[in-house]
Amino acid sequence: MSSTKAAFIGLGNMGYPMAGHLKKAGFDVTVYNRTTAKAEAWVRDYGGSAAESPAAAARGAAIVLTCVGNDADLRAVTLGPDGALAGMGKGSLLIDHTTASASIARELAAEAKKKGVAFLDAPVSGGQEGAKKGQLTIMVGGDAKAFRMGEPAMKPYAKAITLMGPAGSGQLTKMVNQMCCAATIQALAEGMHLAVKSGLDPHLVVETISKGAAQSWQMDNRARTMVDGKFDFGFACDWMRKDLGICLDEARNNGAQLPLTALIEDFYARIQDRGEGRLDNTALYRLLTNP
Amino acid sequence: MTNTAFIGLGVMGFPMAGHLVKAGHRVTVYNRSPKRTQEWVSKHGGKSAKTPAAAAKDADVVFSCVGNDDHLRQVAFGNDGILAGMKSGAIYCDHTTASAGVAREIDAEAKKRGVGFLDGPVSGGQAGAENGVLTVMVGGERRHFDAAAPVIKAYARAVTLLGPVGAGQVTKAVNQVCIVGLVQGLAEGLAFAVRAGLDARKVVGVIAKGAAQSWQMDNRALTMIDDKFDFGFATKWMHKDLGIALAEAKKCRAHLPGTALINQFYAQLLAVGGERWDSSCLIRNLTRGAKATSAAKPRRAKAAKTAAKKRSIKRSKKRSKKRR
Repeated sequence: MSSTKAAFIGLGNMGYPMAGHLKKAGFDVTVYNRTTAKAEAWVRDYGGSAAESPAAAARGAAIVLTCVGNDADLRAVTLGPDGALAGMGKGSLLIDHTTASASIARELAAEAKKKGVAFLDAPVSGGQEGAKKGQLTIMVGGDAKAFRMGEPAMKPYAKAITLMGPAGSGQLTKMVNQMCCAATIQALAEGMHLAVKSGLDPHLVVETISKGAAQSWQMDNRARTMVDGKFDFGFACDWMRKDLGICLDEARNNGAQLPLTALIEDFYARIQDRGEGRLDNTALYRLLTNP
Repeated sequence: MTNTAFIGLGVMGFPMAGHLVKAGHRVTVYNRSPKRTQEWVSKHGGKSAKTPAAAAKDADVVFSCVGNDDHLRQVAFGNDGILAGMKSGAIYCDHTTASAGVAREIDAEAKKRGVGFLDGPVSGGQAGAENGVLTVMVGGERRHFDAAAPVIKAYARAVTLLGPVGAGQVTKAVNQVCIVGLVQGLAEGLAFAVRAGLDARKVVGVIAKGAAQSWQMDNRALTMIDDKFDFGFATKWMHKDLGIALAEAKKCRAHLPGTALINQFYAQLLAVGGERWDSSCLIRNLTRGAKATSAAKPRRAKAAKTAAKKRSIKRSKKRSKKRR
């Protein structure tokens, strides 16, 4: 198993270290990245090899992993004559780590099936930090057989890997995660804003209320940076807006009502309009302090 | 040992006053309905009085814990009120979740009589009161705080001075603002998960370990999925607390768009008879009115969930067929 041939497509903030963990775990890894320089840097860092196209990287691989920006990027690297699926052989497995829509996951599952390729949608949480440390949480959609086949490849960079249901279920679970995060951040932003405006010491307030029913990961990890105006790190507003857009699209399909999520998605749009889309997603606070 | 008085023996005040007795303090109680007073005296010993003023007469520290601003004014002011009975040099600490405005009002009146005032709303709920592990958020002068804190510790895990009079109430408002936005997000997430045909419990198990984690997710997600709300912190109280937060925000010109929206959602729940439901019932707004889902028949959530799951699977099948 130590010489299983794998391909990793997309060496962004997440993919770069993830592919590194895969290589370190003994997989024979070929990478592809849109910007060639990044692929060359990866090969210098970890060994392995780089290919000219997703199809070329995927050729002969038992497992192909992708981690790109959005639905469109994902289509570009998987479909078409240069796409990963074109290079993949019968019985191989495609695992996508992009946070994308559930419908593209179902679409890719169907396309893969035509070629005798198995597919898993497997978005992750844990951020760049989790990717670097190999401590991601992976939410997987697909069938059990494919899941068993894919688990050993994901283990090198995961803290937890859970099969949530059929194709698309990983993406749907990630959507629930993002909704819960966004609303918690908005609530925390409003709370901190009220504290500051009324003359309280926000740090002392957080210390006091973070032991009870108001506690959250966001309060423990982001309240202080928020009130200190530090947003040059973390998970960008641009990405959160993309993710909430996917949630709202899917909600239109399944009839779920997401009033607060819709409001917050609009707040992120405003942040983008102000040219602040690259700030950490806790920058919702800035809309209150600098409206 | 300190001479104390406790005014208001509701679900919070009753056990809090009991902890004072257990800690060895002398306690005189007053409650609007005398039946509750008798119950308390027969359970904990101590004395009772006919008016707030009479209860407060010889006390070094007086506590109150009542329903809202109006109730608080009734027990604090007037000839029979707490302040009328208090001796100069004593301290009055109010545990009601009330407005910062009424706290400042009482403080002004207390100063005239040489009484030290502290606003000290609590969090931790009925369970926290019964187990004596409340968090107390205090506003007032340091010297009054230092004198009262050792007595308050009888029922508190943490007692913190946050600033001048009113600071305790504003901190409590911040606490409630942080809770409701988060609960609404959790409600939307869970309702969405059910609609999408996911196993919502399994989803919670996975996402509760990361950035979406919260006390509410750890302690309320499963009861929300099961549509259980006959416990906890009642919607009518949360609606009251948000009213206080929004009024305070208006005063200090803070913007609370999410909180304002959610306050309306609570108003809708009150309109359909949800006063006593736990404040995590925000999810009922998302499922209520949707055809044949858990909300239309809250007590039969399970059957509805299975139906929703079947529907969504059918739909996704249709969708993938179309694509082929």
